[in-house]
Amino acid sequence: MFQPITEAEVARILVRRKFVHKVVEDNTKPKGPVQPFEKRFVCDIRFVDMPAAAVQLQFFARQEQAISGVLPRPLPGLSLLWRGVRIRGVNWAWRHDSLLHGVQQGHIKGWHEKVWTNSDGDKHIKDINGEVKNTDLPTMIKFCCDRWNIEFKDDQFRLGGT
Amino acid sequence: MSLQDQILTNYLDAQRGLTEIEQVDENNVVLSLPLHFSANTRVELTVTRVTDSYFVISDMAQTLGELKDAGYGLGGKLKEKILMIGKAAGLEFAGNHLVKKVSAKELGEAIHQFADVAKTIGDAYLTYSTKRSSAEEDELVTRVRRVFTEKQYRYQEKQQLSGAIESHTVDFYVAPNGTRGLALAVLPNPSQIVAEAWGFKTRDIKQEHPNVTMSIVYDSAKAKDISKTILNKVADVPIPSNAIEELATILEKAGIPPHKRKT
Repeated sequence: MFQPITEAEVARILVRRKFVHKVVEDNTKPKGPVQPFEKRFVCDIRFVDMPAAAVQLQFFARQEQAISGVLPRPLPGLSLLWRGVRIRGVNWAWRHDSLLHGVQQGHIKGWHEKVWTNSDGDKHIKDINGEVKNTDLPTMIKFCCDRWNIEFKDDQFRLGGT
Repeated sequence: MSLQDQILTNYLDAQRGLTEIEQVDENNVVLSLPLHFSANTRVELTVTRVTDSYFVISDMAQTLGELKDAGYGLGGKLKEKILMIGKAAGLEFAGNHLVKKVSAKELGEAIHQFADVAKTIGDAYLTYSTKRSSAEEDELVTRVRRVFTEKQYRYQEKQQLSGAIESHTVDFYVAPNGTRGLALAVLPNPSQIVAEAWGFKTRDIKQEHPNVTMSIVYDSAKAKDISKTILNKVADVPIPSNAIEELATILEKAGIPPHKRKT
């Protein structure tokens, strides 16, 4: 039977060590001269202590191509989905309002993390402007993986990696 | 000041206070409007001056981007629908960017229209899902089929089973062969009427086939509470779509393990 997602379940998921089980989609390094209008990196995530079990966790990262002459350029958006629902997300907005227990808690400008709560779903956000340094897609993937306790088996997105 | 002037002034002052605007460079301005769409995200636009009398409005790909981040799949049909909504207000797609080209004279109204479209896309077509396309309907069947194939169940598709009153077609059937069998129906659009109909079908099949377990897979995002309650009560093994990956485990617990292959 369908069960709603709770804050406690999300906390348990985040604290457990996870790894990338399978890369579902990755067009971040196109071979030809044509760049995709949206770079996407999608992978299935599993827990390190039960690698054989599918747990319906997915890491999703994307970045749109900029339109010539239009500023600011689009920045990456990343999320951790559990059963298709965003339980954590990192992205950028000029101004993003934050809810806590259904009440408006002011707003955040720039980088923020969406944090799942029982009362607000993914509508509660935290300011992470002080923590985000470089904002290119590979760095942001690394940033979120470290933040959400996800290990990469290779150095595909490590800064300075070859 | 007349009452209508007072109300209008109050309203416009509030709008001015809630709207964020910032000049990025000499030709680009970002506007953050007090309109929320999915995930409490405001509608944010850039207005780029191309010439003195010609502007381009863009959403920085945030309308679709925010929805994708939130886990919505934006397939071809859905994108077509979004395109239709945009077209009605003269918007175009450049990749995932919503774009509108306007003259200086039309700019104010165009910003309003643009924001309205962004909100409509975020709200009406994604937060509250509408009727699904047949391709999307097939998705649930595909996912169930994949689990059955991976776990090596010997199943048949689209089988007709006799009931005490009439015959019924189920999407997947695993013959009992001396143990417990399985009849599984996939309901991509489980409205109350459909759920009630399957209440009858389930009972009718089980009267004729007591050794067959009735399972119903339904779209959990689409099913209303009443439909979920009915399906959860009438089916031996109800499975919401967000638990399909655990289908094999659930069936095993219900006494229907995969078939062992002879090596």
